[in-house]
Amino acid sequence: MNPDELPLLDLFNRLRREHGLLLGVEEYMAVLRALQAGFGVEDRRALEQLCCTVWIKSEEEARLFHRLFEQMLAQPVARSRESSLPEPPETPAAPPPEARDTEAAQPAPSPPAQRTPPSFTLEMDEPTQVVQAVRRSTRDGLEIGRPRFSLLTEYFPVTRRQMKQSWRHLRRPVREGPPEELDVIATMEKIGREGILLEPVMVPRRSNRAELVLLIDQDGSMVPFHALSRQLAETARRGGRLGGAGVYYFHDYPDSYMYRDPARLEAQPIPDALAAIGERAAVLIVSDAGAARGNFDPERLEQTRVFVQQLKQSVRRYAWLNPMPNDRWPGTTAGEIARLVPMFEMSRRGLDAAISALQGRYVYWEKMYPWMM
Amino acid sequence: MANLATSHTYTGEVQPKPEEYGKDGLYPYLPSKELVEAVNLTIFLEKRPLLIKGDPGSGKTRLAQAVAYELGLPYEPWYIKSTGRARDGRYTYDAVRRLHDAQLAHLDESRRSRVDNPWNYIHLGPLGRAFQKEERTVVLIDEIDKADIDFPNDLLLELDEQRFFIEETGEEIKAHEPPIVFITSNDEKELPDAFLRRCLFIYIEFPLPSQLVAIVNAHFPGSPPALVEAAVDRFLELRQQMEQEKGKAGKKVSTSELLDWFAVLRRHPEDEVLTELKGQLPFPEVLLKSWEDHLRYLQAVPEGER
Repeated sequence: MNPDELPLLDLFNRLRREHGLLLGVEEYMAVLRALQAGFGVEDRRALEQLCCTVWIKSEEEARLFHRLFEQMLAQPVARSRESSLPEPPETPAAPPPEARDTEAAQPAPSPPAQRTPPSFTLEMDEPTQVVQAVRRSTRDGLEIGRPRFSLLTEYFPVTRRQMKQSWRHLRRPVREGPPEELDVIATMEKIGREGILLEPVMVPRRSNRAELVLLIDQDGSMVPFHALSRQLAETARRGGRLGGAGVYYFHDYPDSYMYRDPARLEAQPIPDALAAIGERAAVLIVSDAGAARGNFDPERLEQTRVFVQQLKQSVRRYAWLNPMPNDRWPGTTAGEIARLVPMFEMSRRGLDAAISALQGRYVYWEKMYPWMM
Repeated sequence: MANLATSHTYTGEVQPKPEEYGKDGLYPYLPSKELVEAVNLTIFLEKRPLLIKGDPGSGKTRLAQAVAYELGLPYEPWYIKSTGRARDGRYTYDAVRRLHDAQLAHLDESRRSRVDNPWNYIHLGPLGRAFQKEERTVVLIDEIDKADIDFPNDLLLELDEQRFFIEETGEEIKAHEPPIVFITSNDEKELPDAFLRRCLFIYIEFPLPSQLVAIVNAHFPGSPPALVEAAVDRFLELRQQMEQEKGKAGKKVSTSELLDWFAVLRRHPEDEVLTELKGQLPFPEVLLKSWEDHLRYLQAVPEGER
């Protein structure tokens, strides 16, 4: 079979490559099989719906799909494929014969001029995109690789789901609640003692009592990462299966007060806040520590040192999560702060290492990165 | 429409008879054309479950049973709880019971033979039962998002290969016929990508006004047309108002609430209800579920009608 004649292949490839939808050959074959069996051949709408049902997994994706489908039909059927890759509106592969028939019958309504620019993709509130954008821009200087964000989830540093998974490693299991789990060893012992099983021994289920407190740097250079901090707080509160999760906010460094709300109106003196946090809670500071602006601020370093001293005296476990990649820390305030507190970059590995540190495991953080030597 | 002589085809046109209503939760179900098409695609592609999303009360859960009824296939619902585990859908093994019986085996001959057979302590779950049936079974996995985030991944093997192992006996349970699986989700937790990739997806849209009238008529046959029309109109007016004020995300009145509301309305004299529908919303407790809604929509009677 001539690959140029495979129906809908171009649409499929655009969904997959340009927009990062998770589709495999199997998904493409499923549509072909369904077409052969007579699904989606009735009219244009039926074809659209068939592809939509198999390839699309959310409402946002559906909006994207309808737009692309519209575009595909709006373009004349051309067989030449000399178009070069960077040119976004590619020549579409020939639509299947069924589609072509209907297309001939009813000319597509929207002219190609109405096409939305390719820089627009799904509206996703994933802060990881921001992080990715930062990484890219730092790598290639001022030039951002491509003018749009891609949606390949595995390309993101840490997705929402991965955050939830990582939080689960923060554990302090305690049995509490009604006894509903079988205690095998105790039951066996009881049988041994009594010679017969009369009643099994039940124990309460284990539940997680690990408490996490996020100290989030807000505003200023942290503005691009607000969505990220929000997502961290949200995943910790819901779905992280933690015993409790609290959030305090500050700006640049905690100075006399920390705040209960992102707008920093509800102030609490630092000693009170630390007392409320308690010594058992794990404290995770989320801040760029001056790495985003990239300058060295002796005052910030000093004030942070003062705060870290206070923190060390009242909690046992703490770590620092920096949304900027670690190669941007040296020479900035962050580089120096990283020598005071175990600091990790905001990546899957970094987050997991931070959580390991919070669990009380030893993480080699003092000279974790080559530039710290 | 697909023409599949050998396979089942759902049309959405066969409805239960009025005397069957309420039996095992069976009610008429009027699907949209898109939904019918998606169901048939699910039946045809065999190994791909249909993931159904939509507003609460839009009929996500009811679909599976409606399909089972029309096709005359067995139906296995599996309602997920927050503590649910994927293996509960395959089977559960009552170890304590067996241990208990084993203790008494030397006293009682019948118990001994019972203990020897592990199958006496294995209870197949909805998926296990569906796999064992000789004909295709409609399986509903309701509110999968209530379970733990790893739950869907644990189902992949069963859905992909249509088999599972019973560890206690080492036996393999293989599906005779691939079940037709419907999964509903309220989007409380996002589903893993590996799982989503295998699913077919449909979003149940809110029905058109004409469909709403048909749905009410199907549930309450012989209702006076004037009443149905007036109730649906008033209901849509309320919904539109909610849509304008709450946007797309807020909780709006749903089809199932309309049906409840209509069930109340039709018990009252028709002319009385018709006049009431023109004024303040009658029986608001059926439709408005929060104090805020009460304040907002009970005041909002069009000017000059009070």
